[in-house]
Amino acid sequence: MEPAPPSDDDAVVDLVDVLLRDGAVLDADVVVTVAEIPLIGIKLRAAIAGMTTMTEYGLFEDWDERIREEQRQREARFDSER
Amino acid sequence: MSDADGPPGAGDAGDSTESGAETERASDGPDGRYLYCVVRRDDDAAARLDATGVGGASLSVVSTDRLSAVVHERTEPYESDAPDEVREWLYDHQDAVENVGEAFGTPVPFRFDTIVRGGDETIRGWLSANEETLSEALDSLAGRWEYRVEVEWDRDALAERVGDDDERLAELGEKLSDASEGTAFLVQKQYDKRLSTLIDRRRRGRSEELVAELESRTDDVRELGDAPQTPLTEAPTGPTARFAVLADESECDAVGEYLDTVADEDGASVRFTGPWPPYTFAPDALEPAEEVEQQTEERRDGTGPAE
Repeated sequence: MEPAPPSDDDAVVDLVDVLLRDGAVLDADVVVTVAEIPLIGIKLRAAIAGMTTMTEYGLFEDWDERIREEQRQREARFDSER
Repeated sequence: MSDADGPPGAGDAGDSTESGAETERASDGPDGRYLYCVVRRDDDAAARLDATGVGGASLSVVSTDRLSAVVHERTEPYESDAPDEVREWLYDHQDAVENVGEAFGTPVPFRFDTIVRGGDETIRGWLSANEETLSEALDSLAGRWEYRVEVEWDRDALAERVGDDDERLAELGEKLSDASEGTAFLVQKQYDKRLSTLIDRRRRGRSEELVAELESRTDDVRELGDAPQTPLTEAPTGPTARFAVLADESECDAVGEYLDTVADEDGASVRFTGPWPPYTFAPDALEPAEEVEQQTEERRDGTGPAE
């Protein structure tokens, strides 16, 4: 069998998986993004899995906010160590 | 989103660093680069490259003597909770890296939304500081691409197969047909439990076979766990095994041929996708780079608060 190309509908699950979970990562330090925590992926997954009710109830926002706070604290710690 | 700019209330110790960073930023202007991938420098390929990035951004190739990074100007991470929009971005990102790969050969791909603070000079500095590791990673990945394999077995077909040659299950089956209404419930539970164990064992066995077969045909194999991480399509209902393999063209053909023989065994359905840039294999190929990078950054940032 031939592999289905990444543009194929069949490959969309791998597309999200490889792009949001894998790939080389830079240090949180060099990078602007919220490293290691693909927030977009979480929102995307939630929406696509039909878990919109969870979003409506704000569960993901809370979670999102908590992850951001942790990241801020990590960054702050990193700064103060210098 | 202003969130990404600075940690509000990040702590007292951060204050001096904050203002220091602000000054630096002000003199450089707000600069950032969205990093797609790193490739071997090839000026002909760079001239040929005709591709756009996320949201249609125009790509630029930033080079040192031996390496190039493909980037576009961007200071903020992409953020959205609109699935269609995000999906488009992912496709844009993938298309960009694919086009770069076609022009330059297998790249070291970076994760979606990797944005570096600083401009082209920062990128060049980073490429130089990590030249050896990046070159080694490119060598180890050269000519090979990643393919994803997912095998899902039909639970009923598996159950039928494993039931045939297990004495314990046969015993429980007989017991069940003789059981009175009172004990049937309990025996049924034992039967189901035994069946689940057997199915799981079978799945693990088949999975191990798959790894061995894939390993014999490719450069590298990673098991990805049995549940898809992203329920974008319907989740598999049966026992599943997922792998990433690193393969060149002929190895890919060999995997395809092998997978033909897997399909239909135990009611297996197979999903085979690729070629992907080696997203799964790049982080390991780069492992030592991150340490170097951190040290470099620390040196670069040596103007921070007094220790």
